[in-house]
Amino acid sequence: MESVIKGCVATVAAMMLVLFFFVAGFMTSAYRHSTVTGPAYASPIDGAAPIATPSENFNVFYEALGFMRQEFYGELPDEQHLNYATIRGVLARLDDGNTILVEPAAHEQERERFQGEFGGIGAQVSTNEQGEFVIVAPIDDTPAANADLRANDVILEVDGTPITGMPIGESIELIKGEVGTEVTLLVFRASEGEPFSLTLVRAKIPDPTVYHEMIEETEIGYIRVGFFSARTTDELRKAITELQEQGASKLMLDLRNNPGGLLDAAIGTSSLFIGDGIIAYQQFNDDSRKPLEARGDAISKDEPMLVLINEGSASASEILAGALQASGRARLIGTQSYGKGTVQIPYTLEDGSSLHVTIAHWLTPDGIDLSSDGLMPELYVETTDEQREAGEDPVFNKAVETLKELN
Amino acid sequence: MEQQKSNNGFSAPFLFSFLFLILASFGAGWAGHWTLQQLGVSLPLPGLPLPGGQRLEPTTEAALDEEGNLDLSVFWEAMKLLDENYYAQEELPREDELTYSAIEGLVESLDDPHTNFLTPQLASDFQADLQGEFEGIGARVDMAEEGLVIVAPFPGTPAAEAGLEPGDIVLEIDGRTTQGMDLLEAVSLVRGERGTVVSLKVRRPGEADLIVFDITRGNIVIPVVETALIEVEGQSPIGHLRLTDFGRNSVEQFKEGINELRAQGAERLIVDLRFNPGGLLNAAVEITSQFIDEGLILSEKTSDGQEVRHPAERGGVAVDMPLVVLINEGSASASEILAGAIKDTERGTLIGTTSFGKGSVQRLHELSDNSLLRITVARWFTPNGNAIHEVGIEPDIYVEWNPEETAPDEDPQLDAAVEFLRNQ
Repeated sequence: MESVIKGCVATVAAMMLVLFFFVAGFMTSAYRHSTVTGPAYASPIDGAAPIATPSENFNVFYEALGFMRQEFYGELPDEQHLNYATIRGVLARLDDGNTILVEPAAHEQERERFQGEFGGIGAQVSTNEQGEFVIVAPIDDTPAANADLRANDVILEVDGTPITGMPIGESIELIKGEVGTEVTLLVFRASEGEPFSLTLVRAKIPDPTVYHEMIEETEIGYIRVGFFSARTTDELRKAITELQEQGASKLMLDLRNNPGGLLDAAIGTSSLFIGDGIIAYQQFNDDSRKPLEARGDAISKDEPMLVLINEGSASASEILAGALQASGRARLIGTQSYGKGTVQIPYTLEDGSSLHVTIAHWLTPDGIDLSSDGLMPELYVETTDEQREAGEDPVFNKAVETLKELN
Repeated sequence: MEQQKSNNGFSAPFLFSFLFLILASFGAGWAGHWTLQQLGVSLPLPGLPLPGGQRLEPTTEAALDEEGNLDLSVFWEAMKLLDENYYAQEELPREDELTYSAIEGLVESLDDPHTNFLTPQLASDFQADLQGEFEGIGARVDMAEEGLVIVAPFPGTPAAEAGLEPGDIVLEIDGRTTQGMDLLEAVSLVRGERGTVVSLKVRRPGEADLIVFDITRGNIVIPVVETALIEVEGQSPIGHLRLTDFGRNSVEQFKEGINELRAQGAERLIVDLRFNPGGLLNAAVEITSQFIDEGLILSEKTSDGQEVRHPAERGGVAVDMPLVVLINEGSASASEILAGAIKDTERGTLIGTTSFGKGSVQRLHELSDNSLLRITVARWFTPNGNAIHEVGIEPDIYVEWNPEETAPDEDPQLDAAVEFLRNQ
């Protein structure tokens, strides 16, 4: 299993979230805003009964539950899951796969993902063919690096629990924990005959969402954004600045297979390229529109730029790509994007679960509702399965070629 | 015009297709659709005595936990958030619909395809089907691209008397086009109170002009029994009786069918339960009692370990006839009660393939607002105590038949049954 995991985030866990958010899309506001009360624009239909107060008819629910408690051949859900079941019953009536309930455990993973950091030790990890949990590389300036954990060290136990053969996601969950708490690892290092114990204090480990490098023998800076977390705007700003310092005069922004993330990060990243004007509109149920404006802190307004998109570019990726396309700041290359044009707010419920509610659709600056169509690139380049298997990337190659010709 | 052609080509009553459609929206899997029967519907209304002497009353106390409280505050918190924020407000279920969606969520969470909830509106259609009769014109129908197709009118019904023929395509019902219409909707338009008239505009293949039929609706009993006499050279004929459903009218039709076959000279019988998805538990006991005079037919065990025994009822019309029962993977539930009892008591011989394996019992409750709740309440066991759930019943003589791979007039399972009885 050759899964290298940045900053000790489980591939398994991370994949789940990515796939999950591929569907769930992006959300407005980070969790710190999740207690915000409902916006005034989305008031219930005039004259309709509010659904939040039990009507007399709700007794029929208790009647049904009474019969089930008496007779059902099998287990009924406990009180907490009964609450979830009834909520899901209501959600099933909605024509919206993005308004969903996330139970507390999954909610915690989701929260970490959106904040872009968590309490951990800071190492890329993997499992080998024997099912052993192996350190691939410690990340600089983290507890793992400071404790001199090294590449190829095998972790045998976490706080006394053997982890060999355990799914990597579960092992990582054992290692992760609250910032400031201790975790004791039993480490086997080939050069030392005997396994030894190592106790580390967990710290905040960033989970980078932006990767960048200069493309060799060109003036093109390559930037890949994998997800839009609360830290992505800062990471992207730093990446652009570094590339500019290294002599980049042209940029390639790779948003392929980026499932989205926070709306705030979509606005923040778009603002790095667009000086002023509208980035997107939010359209609410009453047809009112709220413009989302650029923040006036652009650092790359002129470099020739191409944005790489594909059918896996969704939600926040489409806001960024759509804003760059509509403003003429960049052209898009690749294949049509996913078409996720709705906005959810995640509300934390009293038991720690989270209800994601679709509150709006978003439109590009030129007024296109992208909830179904997705963005069409100016330069349409497909990648065949054969090319993908052979490790070829015709979209990237075409982008390099095109950028080289631009001045 | 109230039945739908089933995929297997047999005459599956509309009841079952209807249930399947309803249940599909509950997210039930494919395999469930044979088994969505009212096996164990022994209590149409709360408060009536149950077999075994229990009485059940609707109770709200049972909904409460040990402290007497059920805390639904997380649910109501979620509802408030949706009410205040959800984009498409018009989609939110309100008042009665909110209640129903909460019950649907609860039912869905049980992961049991046989525990279901029907809103009052769906319940009233369902009740009509459950009665085994309804008011309409009496034809089996299916939906095709061009419109509603008459698969076959039932004999002796207004549809048959008006001259509707298999293959007729109904283009309009009372002036409304059937193109793109959903089958249930079309069926509900054709049905209506007896004595009223429905107008059908029909295209008959091979005829240039459209034909308009004005048909007066009547009371239609869904036929669930088909009989045929199989001549055997040098011997008395063998009766072939196909039963497609164990409903309220099934017992009577079944007995009539046997009596007719006997009157025509049949002394041996083939009961064909292939693709019979089951039905009422009481009907299974009564129909099995036509062959078995005494002893146990099945026993039920509820989740609290109580056992309810169902003995045979005396006075069966065919306790002495040599018997073959045909079963296949579509024979479920009540069909398996009959097959299981016949096998365990060695009253007859099972021929065909392993049956479906539905060994659970449901009870139907009408709630105070006329919605229906069907709950899996028990497992049942054959007279020898065998559990058949998800196992099925093995035939005594295994004969496969894939209708798609054999000629239309071939039926190797029926042939095997005739061959077996020839030697009796």
